[in-house]
Amino acid sequence: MSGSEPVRRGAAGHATRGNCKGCRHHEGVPESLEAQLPGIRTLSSAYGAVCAADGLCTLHARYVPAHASCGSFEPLPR
Amino acid sequence: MTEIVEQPDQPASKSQISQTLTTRSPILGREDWWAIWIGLGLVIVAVGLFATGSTISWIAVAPQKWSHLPEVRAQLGAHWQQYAALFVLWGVLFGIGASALGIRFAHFIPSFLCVYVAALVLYFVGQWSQASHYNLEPPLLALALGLVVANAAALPRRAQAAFRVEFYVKTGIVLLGAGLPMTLIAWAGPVAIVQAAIVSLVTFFVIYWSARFFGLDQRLAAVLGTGGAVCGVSGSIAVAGAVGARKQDVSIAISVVVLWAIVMIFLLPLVSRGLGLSTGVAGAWIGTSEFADAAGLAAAQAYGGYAGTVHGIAGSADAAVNAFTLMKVIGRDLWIGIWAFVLSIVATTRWEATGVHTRAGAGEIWRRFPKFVLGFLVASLLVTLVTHGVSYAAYKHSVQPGLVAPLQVLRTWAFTFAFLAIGLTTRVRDFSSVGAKPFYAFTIGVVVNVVLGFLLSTQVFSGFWSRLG
Repeated sequence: MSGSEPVRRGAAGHATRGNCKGCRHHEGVPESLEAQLPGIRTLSSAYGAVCAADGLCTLHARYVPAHASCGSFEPLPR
Repeated sequence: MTEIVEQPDQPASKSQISQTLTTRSPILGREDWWAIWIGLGLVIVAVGLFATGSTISWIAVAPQKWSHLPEVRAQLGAHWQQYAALFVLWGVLFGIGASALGIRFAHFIPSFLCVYVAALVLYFVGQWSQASHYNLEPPLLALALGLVVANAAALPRRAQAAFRVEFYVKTGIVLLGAGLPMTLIAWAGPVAIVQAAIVSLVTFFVIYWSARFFGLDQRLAAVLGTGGAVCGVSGSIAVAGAVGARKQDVSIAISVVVLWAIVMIFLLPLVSRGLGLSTGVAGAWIGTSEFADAAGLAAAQAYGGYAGTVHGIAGSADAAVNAFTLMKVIGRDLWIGIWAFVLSIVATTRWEATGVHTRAGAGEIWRRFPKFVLGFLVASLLVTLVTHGVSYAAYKHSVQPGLVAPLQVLRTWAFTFAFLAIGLTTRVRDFSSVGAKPFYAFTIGVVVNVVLGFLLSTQVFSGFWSRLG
């Protein structure tokens, strides 16, 4: 792995450089989530506590918690 | 090989900080907490005024029974200032909460005005002396009206700013706590937990194994299972996040849960009415077999409306909503964090890896805890303490009309906003194609859930739920 970002260990021991919360592929803003998951507003909400800080990974097309990680981490633009 | 360094989370960027403050703050950015501030704030004001010999009943205005249209005009003429004040109160409270969530106040208020006026009309319709004769229960009418509008017209995005089902329903549930004594929660809670646990576990495993039998992915099976077993769409998305499900799994779960939840809103009261179930028993059944709080409250409130108006329906109107709330909120919603925690352990230790690494931790239980339940319990405790030692006669003479009844009126308003918003946000074209296998798997679970919930509510615990009211 290379790059200036410091590397940290993912949950499964994989080398990553940050968790999903700090990754540019992680879409966690509730308004965007509700736009990307039509129908969620009908009987639930992306603003609810049960959602914690989850978001959509636009790279893996998965709904992941903020503390998740993977080898494709790319930091948010500063 | 790259050296691996353990370090704290990455420092937040400017965009992250902005996001965190506006939409991710655990207090300001979550509607559960705003439901608590608004609901509990109203309860505290009501208790404070009651303690000083006053009441909030002036602003907690509601239509009264009527038979002819001139009576409606007379009521509106006499109370229009109160209805206007109530709109301002709700508009400001919900508008501030919505602003904190990132919804523009300027967009929210005009949209909320439409919701409020529609709710007022529906409230009046529900008070018509012939309403029950024509099956015009306000919750079902609100849902039907919303469905027609949402699917017949393409409303601009800003016009939808106030269609916040969960925000209204959570606020209503906090207010509902004020009408449920803590002694009743302590008495009925354990039974609700036992009944809900039986049905939740059976429903989850039936859906999960049905889905696996049909060859579906483990994560999709779990997301569908918790949608049917715990708290509908909220259960599905909580577990989807905990196990790292695919985006399409979430969309499938949303579609199939909403579909069945809306069917059940109409079906459960209809069957309960046909069987002549008492309001407490029917409320318990709805609490066991509906999939979402808002949907279940619509069904329970509609059925409660039959009390005293439909021949053969025993029990009080409140018993249906109270039994539903005990079963759904205490028996099922409360446990979503534990479901998410357990399934995240299973996902990380037993299921196929996905390329995204998640970790299981007990913190999951609190992170996903439906915080509005705390407001419900505190509201109950507060009113229980205030009324402690009050005689039955004094309760009926002063506490009921001066404190409990006005809060019940406000609760009914909040629920009516929610029922309208369910319909207004149910756009058939929005829902993803579910596919036959997830639909069949979930439907098998629905059938088992409904039958088991019926047997437990009407046979095993029937005497218990009948005593609620």
